[in-house]
Amino acid sequence: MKRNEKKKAERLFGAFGDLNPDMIEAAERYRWDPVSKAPSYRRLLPVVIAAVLSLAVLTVTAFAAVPSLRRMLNLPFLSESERQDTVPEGWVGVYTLEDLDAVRNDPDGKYILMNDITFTEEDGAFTPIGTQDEPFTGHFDGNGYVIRGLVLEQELTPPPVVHTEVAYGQGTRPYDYHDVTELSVVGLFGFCGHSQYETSSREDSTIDDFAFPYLTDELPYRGMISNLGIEGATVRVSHASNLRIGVIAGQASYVAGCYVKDCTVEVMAYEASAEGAPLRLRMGSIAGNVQVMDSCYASGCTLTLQGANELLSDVLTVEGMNTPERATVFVGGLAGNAYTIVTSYTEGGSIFCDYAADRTLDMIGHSDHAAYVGDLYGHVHRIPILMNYSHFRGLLETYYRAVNGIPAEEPLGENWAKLEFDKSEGSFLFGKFRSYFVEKPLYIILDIYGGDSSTVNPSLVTGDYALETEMYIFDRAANMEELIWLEKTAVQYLGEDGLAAVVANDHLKVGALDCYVLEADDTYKKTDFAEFDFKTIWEMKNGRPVLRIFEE
Amino acid sequence: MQEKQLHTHPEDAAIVEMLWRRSEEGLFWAERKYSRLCYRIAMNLLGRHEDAEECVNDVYLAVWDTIPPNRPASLMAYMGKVTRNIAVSYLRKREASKRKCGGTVLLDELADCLPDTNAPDMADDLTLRDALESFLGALSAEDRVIMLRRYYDGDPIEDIARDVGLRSGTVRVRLHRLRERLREHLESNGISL
Repeated sequence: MKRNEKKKAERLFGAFGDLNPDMIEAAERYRWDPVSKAPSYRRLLPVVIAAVLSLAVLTVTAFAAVPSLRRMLNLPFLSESERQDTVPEGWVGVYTLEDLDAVRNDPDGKYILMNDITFTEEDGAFTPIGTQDEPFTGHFDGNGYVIRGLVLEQELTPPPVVHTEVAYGQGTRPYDYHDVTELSVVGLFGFCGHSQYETSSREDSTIDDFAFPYLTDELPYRGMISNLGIEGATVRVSHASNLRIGVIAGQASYVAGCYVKDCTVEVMAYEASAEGAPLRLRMGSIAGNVQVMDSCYASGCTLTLQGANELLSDVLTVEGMNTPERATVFVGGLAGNAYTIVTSYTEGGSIFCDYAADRTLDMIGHSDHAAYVGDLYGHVHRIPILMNYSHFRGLLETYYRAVNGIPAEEPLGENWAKLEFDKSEGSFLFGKFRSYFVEKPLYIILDIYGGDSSTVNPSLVTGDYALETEMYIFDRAANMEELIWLEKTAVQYLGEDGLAAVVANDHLKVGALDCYVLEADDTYKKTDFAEFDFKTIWEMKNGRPVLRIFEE
Repeated sequence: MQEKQLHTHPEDAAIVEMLWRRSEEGLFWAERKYSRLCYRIAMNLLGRHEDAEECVNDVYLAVWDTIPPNRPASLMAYMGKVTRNIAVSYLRKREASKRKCGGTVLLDELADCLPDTNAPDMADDLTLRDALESFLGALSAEDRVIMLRRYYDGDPIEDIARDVGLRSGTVRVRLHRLRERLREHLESNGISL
């Protein structure tokens, strides 16, 4: 095509983009009517054959060589970690408070604590390491040592008020809100990790017998904190508006093999002077917000939030909007907000939240309020079990049974999931797995884009709504085998390389929850803790699991 | 079913309102509701997953930057349009590499529609759009969908065929005829590009 022809063609193509939106919407929503125009057998035949074949193949391959879920998520360093007597090559030894303070100067380095560090009153308040602009992206290995007496105190700047207007009835009305876009992060580490995860290559993985090692590739290796104990810390913040706060980190990427003990975290919320939400709080004993927390515990910690009551109860409903503007507060014994927490527990702590004073605390916070307050964590955000934000390609109109992982040719029923797969080239999919834990045992929601074959522009069906529809399930009986089976299904259709690409693109992870809230007066046995690794990571001491690396 | 599903997202007007008030929640919902559409268009035009992802990310940024001042009546159409514009700009950048992709194939096809007129001046955007709308408005619903799915969304012929219940070959022939008719329509209206 000649250059001037191309320019003209581009102009014509551009003109399509300026068409009446109604015309565009109508085209997007158009689907042929299967009643008035029945498909020919010739077109249906390949689909039927493919569906039958796939069911036959899946029946044979299900449950072969099921890898351990725990090994999928726990990284090898946890089980291999033993206290180091000498500083390993490429690492920087941390011996003193000054060494600790110097970590901020090279936030991409590897640091290893070589002895306990105790803060005194003369040391004053410590400044968190890592900010949102310059996060800690290295690895801090506590090496089984403990930091005691840490004090973090900050008085934040109140958020500015923005004057604007919102729709109201047929017109508008003034609406002032607080600009809380500036994030504050408070903890020994303020902000850990990267806004973008670094994908390590499969070659870097030391997991030998793991069937699908790429599932761990997307774990946030950057900004990692491991094997660190913190005792007797005091973390105090006033004028909080947009805050992530925890003893170990405000925003954490990967925290593993760590504990906090007898610490206090106190937050005084900023008193709102405008209508809009002034408070976005993520508050936990270990971390305010965490991507992955593995093998950690919090013992005897107190979390106190004051001044949130009015802010949370003042929910503004804007005319014409079905989503009210409101503050959000997530407070939890381990973390305020979490993507994944596994094999961890909390015990003997207290949460004082004036908003939640008249409510029973749950293991995991309720989701029907602006404040999510829970013994373990306040809010679980997209905990991935099998796949998180994952797209599938596969065969059209293939049905899978999602309970016990056994595919069978039965009609859709109460315990059935329908996953629609579309194999046609150029189309992208559909099945989007997302999982939540509400309490043990785990719950799974299969979030699926799409509907039946007459649906155009499939919408996401999620949450409680998934319970209501006859097409999607909310499976309370899902088990490990099922997850593995689903994983195998993905491999079946995508191939290993294909799934690896999906993993890389969609942050796919595997996770599980085996977390506990321990009663103060009870003693426990190993058998009370499912999936806790008592061989290499934990040991029992006085009726409690403790991290092996801290025991001399 | 369809009606229920729609309730899982806020209405477009509410999302636009959130964006208008600079609420990030608006962007969240816009992404949630139309990421598939944007990705589909971008992927159709650019042909590479990485480029399409990057393009869609740019779309979110552009939506955030342009609402306000814009206040689109249809967020779907707006995001589709922004996606197309950004994808086309990607295509231009890619021109040096001469890599063929869905977008260049579409432009090749649209070259069939270029009117051969003696009009001295190039038609302005509004005139061109009106001519296109009058052409599409006169088509049957099925033909209109075929044209728009192909030249608005850039959808593969196989996808269009599936969605309109026709064979791919039929859609291909239908498109060929429609392009000829469009060229005639533009010529008869004295449109010069």
